[in-house]
Amino acid sequence: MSPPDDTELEALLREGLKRPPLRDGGFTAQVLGALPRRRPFRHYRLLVGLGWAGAASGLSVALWAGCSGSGEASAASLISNAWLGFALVATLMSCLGAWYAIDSASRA
Amino acid sequence: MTPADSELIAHCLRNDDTDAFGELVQRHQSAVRRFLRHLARGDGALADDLAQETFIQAHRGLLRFRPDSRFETWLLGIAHNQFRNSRRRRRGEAALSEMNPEETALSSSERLSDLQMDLASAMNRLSADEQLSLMLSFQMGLSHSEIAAVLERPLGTVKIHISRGKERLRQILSPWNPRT
Repeated sequence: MSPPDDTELEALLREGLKRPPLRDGGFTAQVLGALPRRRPFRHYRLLVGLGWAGAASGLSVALWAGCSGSGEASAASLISNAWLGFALVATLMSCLGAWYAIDSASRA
Repeated sequence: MTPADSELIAHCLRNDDTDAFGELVQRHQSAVRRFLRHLARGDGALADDLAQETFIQAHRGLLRFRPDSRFETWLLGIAHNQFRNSRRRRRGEAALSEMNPEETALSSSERLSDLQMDLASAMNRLSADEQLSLMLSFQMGLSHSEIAAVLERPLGTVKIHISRGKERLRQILSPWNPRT
């Protein structure tokens, strides 16, 4: 019997190598489950900037309030000063916000 | 109308859309897994692990995908690299070389026709490069230049593998007669 010519062989290869598509069988779900989380917070740079700006403002207010008093007598009044308390809380929150944003970005 | 691969990729990049990427995985999982099963000589578990890693790598590197090429070709290139890296890691393990590609890959879920069995056995007598090039060309429908890109080989080498593979198959299959 003569060997198949090129066209016959190519047709044979196309037919003979044809396979039905593999069923997904949960493969896609598995891949999607294994994907790394991407940028959970997209605007982290903005949040970091706001955080540091808040921290800087808070510290400025605290320093200003501290400098405007004098000696030990002013220390007690400083603590009770609502503005200073607010500034310290704002500083703390801003620092935490900036830390969270940096941490989230580094995990993404 | 189903969106083209390029639209889904653009969606993934713009909106970080996991559903769009899921659609891409669903479309191409069969080709990637089948290609890896062939490379892994029928080790379905290894092939699926590598296929999963292939899609994760693709997801990470979507920005590097050039829209002038086919997404599936790009995926098969990543899959081929994954396989080569895994083989490097597993060098020394003899298990893979003892397996029979088609039998192990297909026996559990697929029934092969006589033609397919004969062709599979004839293909086993070709070199690995010839088998791979013929498989990518005739089973997956890749052009010669796409095969060269996937395997990272010169186009001329791919053409030689295909031509030699066909020549050897022609000799092996000359007594074959589907009517008998």
